[in-house]
Amino acid sequence: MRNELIVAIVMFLISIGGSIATKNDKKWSVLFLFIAALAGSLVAGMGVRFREIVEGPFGFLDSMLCVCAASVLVAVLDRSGAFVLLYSKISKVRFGVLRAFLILFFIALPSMLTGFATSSLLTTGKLVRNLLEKQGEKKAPVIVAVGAFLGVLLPPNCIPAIIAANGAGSVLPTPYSGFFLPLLVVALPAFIVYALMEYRTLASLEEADMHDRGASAALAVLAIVMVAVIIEGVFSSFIWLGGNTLVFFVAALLVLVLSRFYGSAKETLDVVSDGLMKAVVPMAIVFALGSFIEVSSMTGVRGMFSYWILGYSTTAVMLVLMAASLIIGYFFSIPIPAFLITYAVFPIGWLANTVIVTGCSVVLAVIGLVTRRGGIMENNGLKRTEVLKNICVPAFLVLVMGVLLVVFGDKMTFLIM
Amino acid sequence: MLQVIYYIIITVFALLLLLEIVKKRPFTELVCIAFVLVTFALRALHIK
Repeated sequence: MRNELIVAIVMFLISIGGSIATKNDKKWSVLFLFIAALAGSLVAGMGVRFREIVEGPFGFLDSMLCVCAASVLVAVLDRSGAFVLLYSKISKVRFGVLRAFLILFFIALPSMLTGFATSSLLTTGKLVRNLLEKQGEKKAPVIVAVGAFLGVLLPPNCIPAIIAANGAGSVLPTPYSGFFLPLLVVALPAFIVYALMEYRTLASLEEADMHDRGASAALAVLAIVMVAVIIEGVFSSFIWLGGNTLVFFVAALLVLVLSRFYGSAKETLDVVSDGLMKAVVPMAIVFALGSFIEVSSMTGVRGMFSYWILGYSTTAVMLVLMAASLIIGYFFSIPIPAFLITYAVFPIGWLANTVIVTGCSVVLAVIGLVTRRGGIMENNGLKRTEVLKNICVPAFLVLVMGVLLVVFGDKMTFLIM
Repeated sequence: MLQVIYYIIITVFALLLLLEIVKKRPFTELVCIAFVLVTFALRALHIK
């Protein structure tokens, strides 16, 4: 057996074994990905290569710094009362369908900014879930989870797309830019259909009344952030604001200054640390994955993969790996599928077509929603079949859009801004 | 100028993580913080 194959098997087995032993616990995934990277290096006879283990995460660092800044912004916005005020404004909208759309957008908003689902689940999602459960709505956790899932896919930040972008190219990873419109195209159909499907439930949410001067100022900052994000995503060729990391960081500082709790150093530090800690697990998983990918390249696994796929079309390779990721991810959650998706986009090269990369990445977001354990649908008190019945439409629509982007991505380059 | 701002951002986050790592936390969380902290710190040292 080829040495590279043995290395790949050892790395996969450790990661899958870890997933089974810890029931797909995300926090343990970091450790097992790290151990798998170390083991791969040792099995290949290259010793403990700290350079590659540290260099791997560097490919993700700039994008994850933006995720981190966004998470801090979401935490300060939440603490300032901006989300509650925003909800009170949305809840006063009289037109039912529009209100349903706005409430779904409200749930998705924090995940949209940060790129990971927990962000919505713990802030706006929690607020909507409590209100829905008060009305006796059993589907409340599902609606909130789907909102968070759609938020992950919506621009500006999308961790699955960040992971996939890193895989494209051989020496240098593709930068995470030009994803705004492709992500919008992937998520919008599912967003519209799901808002219409659940419009009666979403529109029936009770009105809330709240007025707070500090919250108003924070909400104004959020509005400016949204405009800045659109400028960064769509018009960055004409106007460059310094990147979303800077936008989020400055916005978080502004909210801290304008909100009422400014002045208490301990409280300020607590809220910023809280935002940072919410992003730590997603960031650590992505960094550990970076080490895993780097060691696989160093030990020749990527070279072996390149040799194997020579005779096949790039699209066929991507679709097969997407399907394999979905099946593996259903049982063992994110780590191995994330690795496979980086390999799926690898053949399209550096500065890859971001439309195709986005198409591949949707599988990772879908896995987060449908996985048996460790996903965003865990511990919701509903039966598995009931959950799957409620999430199948948005998950299917997103997957279809992903496949369409992979197959027709070459003709959709006008989406790359 | 922008390099300096990014250096400040990454340093602030790294220092806050350093504060968090000294608090009593579950082992898995400490591993996650350590992984992010090491990456941030090494990157901050590489900014020129």
